[in-house]
Amino acid sequence: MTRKTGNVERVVCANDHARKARVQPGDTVADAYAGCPDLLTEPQDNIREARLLGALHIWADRYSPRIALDPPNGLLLDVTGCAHLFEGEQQMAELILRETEDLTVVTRIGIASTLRAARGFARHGTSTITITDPDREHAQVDGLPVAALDLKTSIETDLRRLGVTTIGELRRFKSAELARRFSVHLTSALDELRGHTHDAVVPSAVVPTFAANMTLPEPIGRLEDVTGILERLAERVCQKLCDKGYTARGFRLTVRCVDTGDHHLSVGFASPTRTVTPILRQFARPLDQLKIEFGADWMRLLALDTGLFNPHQIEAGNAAQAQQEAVDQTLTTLGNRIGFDRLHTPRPGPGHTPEREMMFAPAVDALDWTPPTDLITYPRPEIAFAPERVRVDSPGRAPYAFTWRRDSYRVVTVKGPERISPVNWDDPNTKFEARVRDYWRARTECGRLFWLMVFPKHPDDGCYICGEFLREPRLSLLRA
Amino acid sequence: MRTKHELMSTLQDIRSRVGLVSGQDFPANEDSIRLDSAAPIAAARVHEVTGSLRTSLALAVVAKATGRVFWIAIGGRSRCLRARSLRPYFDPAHLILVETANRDETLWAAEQALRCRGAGAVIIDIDKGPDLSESRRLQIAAQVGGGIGLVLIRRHAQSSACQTRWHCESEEGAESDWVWSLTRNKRGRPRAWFVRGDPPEHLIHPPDLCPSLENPPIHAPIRFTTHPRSLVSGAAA
Repeated sequence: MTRKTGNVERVVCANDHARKARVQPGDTVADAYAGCPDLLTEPQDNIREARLLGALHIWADRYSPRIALDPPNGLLLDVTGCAHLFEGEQQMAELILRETEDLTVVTRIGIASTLRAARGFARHGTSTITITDPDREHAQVDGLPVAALDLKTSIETDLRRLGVTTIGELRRFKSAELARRFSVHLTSALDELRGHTHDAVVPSAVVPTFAANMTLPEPIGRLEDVTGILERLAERVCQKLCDKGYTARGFRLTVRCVDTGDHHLSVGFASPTRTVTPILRQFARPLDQLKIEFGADWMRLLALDTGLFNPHQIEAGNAAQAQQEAVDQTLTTLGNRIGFDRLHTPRPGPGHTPEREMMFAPAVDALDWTPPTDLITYPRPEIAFAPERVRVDSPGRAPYAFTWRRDSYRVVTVKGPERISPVNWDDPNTKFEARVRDYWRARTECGRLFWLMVFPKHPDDGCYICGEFLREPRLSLLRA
Repeated sequence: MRTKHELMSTLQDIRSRVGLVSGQDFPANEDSIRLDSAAPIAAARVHEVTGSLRTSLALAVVAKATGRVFWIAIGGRSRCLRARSLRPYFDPAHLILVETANRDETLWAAEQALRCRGAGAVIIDIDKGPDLSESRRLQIAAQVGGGIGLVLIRRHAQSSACQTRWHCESEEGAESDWVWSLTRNKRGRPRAWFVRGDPPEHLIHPPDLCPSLENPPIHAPIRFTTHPRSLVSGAAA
């Protein structure tokens, strides 16, 4: 495995054969090839490795209920009270080793009474399986190299310069001196390693995967056949969801074509679902557009965005519920065709300036509307748009006449101004937000009511039109 | 024989049913009585609105509608609506804005939204009005769903199958806020209203143009199933 750091491609991981040929992690790839011309290298793929670790996490659930991930390549199992189920720690470790060999995964195992010690023995121990003896654990830990403390490279180098290679050699120094010279991280790591301070395994729950796949003896290409397979897959996935009490907000179908490889089709749902019919209905269009020329021989349906099913009683004749269901169905249809990111619902924004007074949340799964505390004391227009500059025909504090979009308007009355001062954390380069602005409500001769913006400190910067009132705002409205 | 007092109370009753703000320039003649029953903005129908203040009519209709409101427009056009200022009209939390990419997508989304039984009103913001076949499709969808379809036309309307067509402008001299003129009506005469958006209790009381929302629609929703193939074979036969 190689990774490019800076300008150099370096070996990050090597197997036993490579190590025999004196290829070490940290060598440049050019040096490694010079020493071993038959070397096979592959760039590191972090995403695939993370997926493998996730899969091993699910697999390791059979040994212990408390498992934490130790990325990039470690699993921490809290085996307290589990080892006797496998007839002892040694037998358990051997079993894990055998089973991972079947999975073609090379494993090193360390079992110790503290988390750091177990990690240290697994990563830096001399043999594949290291199990500490509780009576002489301190002596065993003392034999570990300093690298087992997982410190910064600079600290490790400094320790090596002092002639310290193993943890036992650190006993020569007072811990206060170590903390002063190398930071408290060193001493706290030492305490955790020796079990003086508690360092528990923080288990992470396995995210259950709900998927079904099907390998076909012969490639299929007709739409009805593909839909039939999808139906069988959907039935299996929905059964799994029902068994565990889960629902899904989306599904991904992978169709592996003989010639063109994998095609991923995804659908989403506005409300959680675990029934077959809506899945088939939403997949109808993407499947129709999929081009299978020489047939597909493998399909997989995966439930995305799963969550626990929230049971609720269906009330007959509940109009609001029926309405919500109908709206959810429409949102699903619209979202799958034009994209869920294009369905919005307005929500109050975090500020009171015209730019911040409201925002648009995704219509699917939007939070409830919380009425904002009304800091706005001036009426705001029903329709607002990005400020557009108008030509001022007759200047004033607010213009007496202006031309906008090739139409001339004569202002009859103006009301205002609403003055908005900039806040000091606004970006001073933005044109409108970082200046003092005056907003005027101007009624034109034709009866339209515009929202005009001028900069009182920069009168030469012209006048902008920012919105339109549909009617004269009454003052009683402000106390709403 | 009715007394004068009775007649006055009947007139008052009609006025309140029509929902007029008192003092509005609106003669209580024969037409005004028919306004209530004729229901110019009927549910399960598609209507068109032109003019620079077309949004005002849309907001007034939405204020009367029950259920969710879909506002369909190309790109970010629907984002010009300010939720805070819409509160006097209706609860903006019920508003769903749909951003489409082009005219075809707008019409498709409008059809889907109109088909939805939970949609009280569907507002379609469009450049050029729908033509005869497009508006017919919208009409059929509206009959399935039972909500009001309102097409806001920016440029010009085409000849279409809409139930009514309105032109909304402001009035010179500003006696009222809006002038709503009914320029085309399938079930009645064209006329005009001078409307004032006066909020006595922070609310707007436009004339009750959609009374049928509370009652079942005049025309029962029709269930349509389209079979394009059978149509083709029928034509061949």
